[in-house]
Amino acid sequence: MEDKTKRGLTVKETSIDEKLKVKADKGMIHDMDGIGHWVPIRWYFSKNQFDLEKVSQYAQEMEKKYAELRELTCPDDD
Amino acid sequence: MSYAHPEVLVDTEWMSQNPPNENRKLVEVDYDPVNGYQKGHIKEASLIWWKRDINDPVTRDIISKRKFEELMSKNGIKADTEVILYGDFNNWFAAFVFWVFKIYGHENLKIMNGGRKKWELENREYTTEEPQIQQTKYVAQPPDEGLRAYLFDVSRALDKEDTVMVDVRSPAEFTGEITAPPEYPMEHAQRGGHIPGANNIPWGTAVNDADGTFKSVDDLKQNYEPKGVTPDKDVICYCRIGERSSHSWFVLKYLLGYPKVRNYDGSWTEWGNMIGNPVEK
Repeated sequence: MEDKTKRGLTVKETSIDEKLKVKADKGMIHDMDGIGHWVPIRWYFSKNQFDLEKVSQYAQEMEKKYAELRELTCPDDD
Repeated sequence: MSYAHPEVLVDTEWMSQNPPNENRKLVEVDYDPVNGYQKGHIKEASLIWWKRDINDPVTRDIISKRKFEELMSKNGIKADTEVILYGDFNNWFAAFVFWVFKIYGHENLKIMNGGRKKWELENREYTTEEPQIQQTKYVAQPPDEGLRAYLFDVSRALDKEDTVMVDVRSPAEFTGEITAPPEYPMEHAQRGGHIPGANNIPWGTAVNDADGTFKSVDDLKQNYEPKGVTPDKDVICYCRIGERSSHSWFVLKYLLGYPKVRNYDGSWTEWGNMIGNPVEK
């Protein structure tokens, strides 16, 4: 699974994502204060442990998060 | 041949042999102190956090003279203290702070060549212990505006043959392919490209890849002179937010000794966002 909003970000390390408990490529994004935050770019779900339905659920949760963010910053007129 | 002002540099070995004392203060300047100073710093070094300490908290500007005096006092620095700066991101932000120190007239000021990068490559010691600092009473000089270029100065210089603009960003930023790398989503501009007539001489061409130390005088001259960046010109350096350009400003002014070099700290995040500004790609 890949977070397309992180496209172009350099992969700085591959380690376990503590939230989803799977191996993930991670990069760093600096905020307004210059502080760097590790962010997962893509996750490697093992077929032995995860079925497609579970991965789709994670993908939908990510999509929902970004939809809420878009609504917060650029709400639709309707 | 040595640098025009060799007194503005110390190396890591010298630093390890000459620790800070009453009259010598060591200051780490970080863009990201959480992943820098707080994880470990050179013993007795205090911290200047670029965003919090050297920039005005509300308006986009460097801090005022009064705030600078407070910052110096907080860091135990007196007007005649020898101050050595070093930091993360290849000393970019240390160079920016060097520039601000010079704007407010601090004389005895140096940069540790190679910054955190070289110190770490040499496996030298860090501590997480913060120094006990006795506050001082610091009186700064009135700001030397001759070191700084504003939007007005850059606009006015567009058609002037005796002023040369040095864009120290990456070639991809210079051509407008990107406005900022994905790591810095807060530093984009509405337009990509460069100020018309600017020369693209990336900051990194002034340092040795291996350890981030400055190149020799001969190499530096070879880096700038063939592109028309010569000591007889009025030189203006810029980048995206003014930190990489202060690194090149330092090189041109202190290592090569150019008499007239200014840092345009508004840089591309100002120029590339202004309505009507001419842009070249």
